[in-house]
Amino acid sequence: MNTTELIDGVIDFVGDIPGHVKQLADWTLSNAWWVALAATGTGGVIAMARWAVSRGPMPQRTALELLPTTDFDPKPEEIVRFGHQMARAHKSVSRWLISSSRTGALRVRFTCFDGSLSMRVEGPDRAMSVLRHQGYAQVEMRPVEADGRAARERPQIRLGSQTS
Amino acid sequence: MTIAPDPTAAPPVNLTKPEADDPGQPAAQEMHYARAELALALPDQLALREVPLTPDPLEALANAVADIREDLGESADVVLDLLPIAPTRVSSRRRRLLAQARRNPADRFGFDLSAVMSEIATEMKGNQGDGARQRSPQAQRAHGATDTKAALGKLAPGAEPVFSMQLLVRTCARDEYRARMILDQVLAALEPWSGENHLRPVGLHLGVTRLRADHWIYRSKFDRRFETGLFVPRRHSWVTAQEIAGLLKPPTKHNMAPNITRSGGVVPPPPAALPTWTGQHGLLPLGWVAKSGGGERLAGVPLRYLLFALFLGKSGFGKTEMSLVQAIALAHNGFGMLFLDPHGDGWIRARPYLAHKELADRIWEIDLTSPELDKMVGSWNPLSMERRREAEIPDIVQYIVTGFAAAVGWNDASARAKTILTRAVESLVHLSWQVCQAGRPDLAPTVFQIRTILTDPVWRTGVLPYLPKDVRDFWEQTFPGYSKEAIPIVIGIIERLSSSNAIKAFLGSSRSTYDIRHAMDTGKIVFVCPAGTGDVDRIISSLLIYDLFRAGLSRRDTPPDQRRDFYSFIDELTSVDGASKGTLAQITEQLRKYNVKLLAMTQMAQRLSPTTRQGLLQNLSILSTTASDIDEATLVTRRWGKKVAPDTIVQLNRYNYVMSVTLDGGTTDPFRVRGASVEDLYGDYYRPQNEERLARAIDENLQRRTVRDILTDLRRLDSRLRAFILTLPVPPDDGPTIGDAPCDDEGPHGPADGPGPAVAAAKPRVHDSEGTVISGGRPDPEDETPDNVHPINPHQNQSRLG
Repeated sequence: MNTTELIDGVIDFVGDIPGHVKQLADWTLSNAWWVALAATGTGGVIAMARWAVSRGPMPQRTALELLPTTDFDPKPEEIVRFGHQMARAHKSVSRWLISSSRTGALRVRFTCFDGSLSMRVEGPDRAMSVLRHQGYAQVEMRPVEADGRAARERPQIRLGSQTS
Repeated sequence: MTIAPDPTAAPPVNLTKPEADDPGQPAAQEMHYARAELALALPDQLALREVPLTPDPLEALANAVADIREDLGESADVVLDLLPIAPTRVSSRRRRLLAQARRNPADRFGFDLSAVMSEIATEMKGNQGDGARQRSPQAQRAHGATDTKAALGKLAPGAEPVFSMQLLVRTCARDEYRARMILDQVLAALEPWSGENHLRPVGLHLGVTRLRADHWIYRSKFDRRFETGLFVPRRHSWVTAQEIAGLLKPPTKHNMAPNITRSGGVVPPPPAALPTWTGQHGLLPLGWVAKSGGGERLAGVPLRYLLFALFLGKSGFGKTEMSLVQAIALAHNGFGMLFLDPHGDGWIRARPYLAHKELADRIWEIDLTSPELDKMVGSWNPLSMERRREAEIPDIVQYIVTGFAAAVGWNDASARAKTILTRAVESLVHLSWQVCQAGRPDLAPTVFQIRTILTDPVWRTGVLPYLPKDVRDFWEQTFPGYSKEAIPIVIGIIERLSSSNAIKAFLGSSRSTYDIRHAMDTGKIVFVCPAGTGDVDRIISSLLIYDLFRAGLSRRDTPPDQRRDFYSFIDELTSVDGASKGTLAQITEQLRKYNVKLLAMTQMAQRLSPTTRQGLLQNLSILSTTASDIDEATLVTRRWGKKVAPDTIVQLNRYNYVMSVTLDGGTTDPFRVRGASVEDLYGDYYRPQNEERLARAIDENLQRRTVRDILTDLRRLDSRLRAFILTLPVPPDDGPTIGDAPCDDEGPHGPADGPGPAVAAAKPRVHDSEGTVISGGRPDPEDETPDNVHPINPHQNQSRLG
């Protein structure tokens, strides 16, 4: 094959481009329905999976009350660090990569109790158990018991005079 | 500032709003809510304003909620839901932003005027050498960097962590307008974050108004998210930790608003090695401590590590309650103990829990609170030499004088009064020895005869021949030379004692039925309740405590393995300090060798003399404090290093303690303890129906008599004693006194108080133990007990409560 033939081939091909385009368009049109279907299906399956995961009950959530001392004076770095700890704690919620973002968020709540402002951090149990030990230096993290005294069982005391 | 209430004592806190899901209550239907969902108004690479931390941005929020009336069901909550964004998503977002910036670089600036102007300036200046041309690429690079930064906005590298945010605000009030007003106040408090970007309520824009989260389109979903924590963020929702730093921390010290819930201070968690107490024999209950996984448990400290405990703090903050819990546990677990209980309130609380037949024969009660003449009282004559040995006289004298001196605060300047008191006590103890030897312990002088010997020269002259020569010399030669001013000081003390019938009856009997050494050796449960007022009380407490010390130290005659543990709960330790420098510290240090464990309470450790304080703190096994004054708190926290701030102690609530204890590995870090109450712990042991029988058992244990009888005897004692003494043969002038001879003859192992013919008539009413020996050898047990002495068998009255 010499140069002339090569050039001729190119010219032919270029001259026939509309034909090629038409061919490609025909093929695409004739196959579009199942390509689209496959794409939609895959998307649907993923969406379904995510929905199924998020549809389940909200994970058990706990709350910690953050009680600062009168000397609490954090540096910006400490706060960013606490932000990192929150981000890290969130990873403990689930090990599944497709886990839903809808149920696992951490919540910072400012509420008032008896007219006093207090801050709480709420979130899934697992995240909070990690976060519980990663607080600020001058802040006491106190679990908020949803039902108050329930955490303390009535003690069963057996003294020596009864057992003997 | 509000100190956070105790977590378990606090009323139940519901995480969701109780009004919202409690349709049964009519009040709930009247509540009105106002809602707002906030989202970033502009594309989220544009940052909110970085609000500085000083002053605290939450101050505005605190002010906004300051007038919320919880009692009317009002509430206001700002809820910031955060979901961390994975770093890969952040990087891909960065790439997209950069690509976008490259596609239309003027997108942000429209026309880069500064670049053009600098270009023109360069051209006009002409070519001024290479420098300008060489700077140009650098400037271009810098310009590029600025562009990148501008394109990425807050998402520039290093901005992590990045969160997706959902910000919900909901307020509640009985009035619709009030709810909205509170909402607006809260939204205003969030306004400082407006900068390049700002927060805007989410809702459909209708041109003239905007549908808010309150609209029925949004309401149910909003409430669902608010109540369950469901996370459905808006499109532009990414924020960095720096931007919202003001919302990621609780109020700081720069927050001047008064309505901030604060912690009372941070205290290290309780040591994991601290045992849980369920009534075990070998543990001393402390109270409730936090469990690592939440909740509380009852903690106890092993008794084998307990040598000396110090409980500090304000009165009325639960020191006595904690001691009662411990005392009842020890009593039921078979240990002997002394509880010095001013006012007798503790005894009244503890009594129903101790009214068990198993304990009946071990309980002694000395109640000095009642002035009734028909009340049954036990009696104690510190001067009685019944069942004691002559060798003990110096010790007895010393401890009585120290007890008095400590109570009235005599120091070195009061040497003369002290000397007079010493000689008076010494004389009376010698007389007591004589009458006991003669078989009439019921005629032994009491502390009230101190007054007689000082003021009645006839009486004194009558008994002088029966005293040792040095004592006699004092009365005959030195005493008349003393100024008359010194004597009233001594007499004053006795007068004060005799001002109370109860104390007069307790101290006015010649024979003792209360003997703390006997109580120690037989595991008695002794409650002593002084009236709790004034000088008299101090004197009696001081005498009792020094008697306790003396008895404890006298246990050196018992082999170490036979010394039963004895626990003494002593309130107001400061009242017995000050007698002489460091005596108290030395004694407490010594006492632990003899298994007498001191659990002392005091309001102010500062009031202890420095020597005493150092000595005590040195040997502490438990150091506990409730709320106290700042100076006091500083003193205690200094011992704990910097692990607890003094402020923490100052702010402790009632029945809350911070303490450190000794465990296997040495002294623990301080930890929080919440006091347990007697009712909480010992509900199963409550026997009020047995109290009557308990009183009868105590009458028998202590052979109590009525106040009237004792006072009648006391009135006649002076004359009867003198009359009896005069019947005794006068001992030879320089020779040994009566009863001394056998001791000298038989050496240290001989019976020091061998039964003479007269002693046989003496019937000790309490003792079934050996006499105490301070400096001599151990007496022979066979000689110790006269044949016809019938010791009280601790088990003989077991069925009295049955």
